[in-house]
Amino acid sequence: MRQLTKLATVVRRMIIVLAGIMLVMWAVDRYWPDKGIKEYIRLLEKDGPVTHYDVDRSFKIDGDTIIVKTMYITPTQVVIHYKDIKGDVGGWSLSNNALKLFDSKGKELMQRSSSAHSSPWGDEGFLHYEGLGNTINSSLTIRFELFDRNFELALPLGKEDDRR
Amino acid sequence: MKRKTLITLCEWVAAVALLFLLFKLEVYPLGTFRSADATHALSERSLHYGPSKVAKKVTVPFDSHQIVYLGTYKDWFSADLVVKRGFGWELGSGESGIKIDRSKPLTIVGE
Repeated sequence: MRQLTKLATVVRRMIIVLAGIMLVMWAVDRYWPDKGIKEYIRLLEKDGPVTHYDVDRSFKIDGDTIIVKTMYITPTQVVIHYKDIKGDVGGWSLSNNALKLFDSKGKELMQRSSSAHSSPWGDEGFLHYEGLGNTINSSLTIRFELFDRNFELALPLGKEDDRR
Repeated sequence: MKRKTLITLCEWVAAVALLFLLFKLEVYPLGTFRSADATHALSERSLHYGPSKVAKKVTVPFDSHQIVYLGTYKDWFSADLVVKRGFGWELGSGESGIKIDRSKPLTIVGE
């Protein structure tokens, strides 16, 4: 009986420790704020002055929440920082072609590159688009386009409050 | 109640609560417990495609742990692979959402 009690104690404590570790790993992966953002901004500053817009707007597609967190405009590129929180654990990462960017005249800004950190619970990354050049834009539009799913977000450029 | 019994009881409550949380948040270290059909549905949903009308569910002849779902959805067709790992099924690979060329009797990809 005493041996059984000891075994139950070992099992119980192992569950607590292992489950605790897994939950901490899950929470860090999901909620750790802005991994590597400062390094990213430093890299962007090589282009010249960086205008930073806190967008923080989201939309839902198929149960996933896609958040457009920040937009950076440099003399040579526009960079979107996004986060995709999955409604169901374990699906595919968000396709980097899903988010298209248009200037205020409706011209598509071509995506040059992308980078993302993915986990079973979602992904977070940066999409790099061609620069605005000398054109004056009052807003940009980000458009989600995949198969028959569409969603549009206007990103105004004039609000000083959003600019940093 | 003795102090030792109370501690044991608290530890059991904590262990069960943590296991429940892991299950609820779908944190499975040994893979998922999803069925093949549920995994296929997840695959399409996370690709923001479908749900497709499955024309044929093919078990790969040389490996019964792999199933391909051949289907169509509006103007697209797809071949979605799911793979059995551990207790459940996981995403494989495959082609999702290739536009059907209505001007031709047969749409060919990967030429």
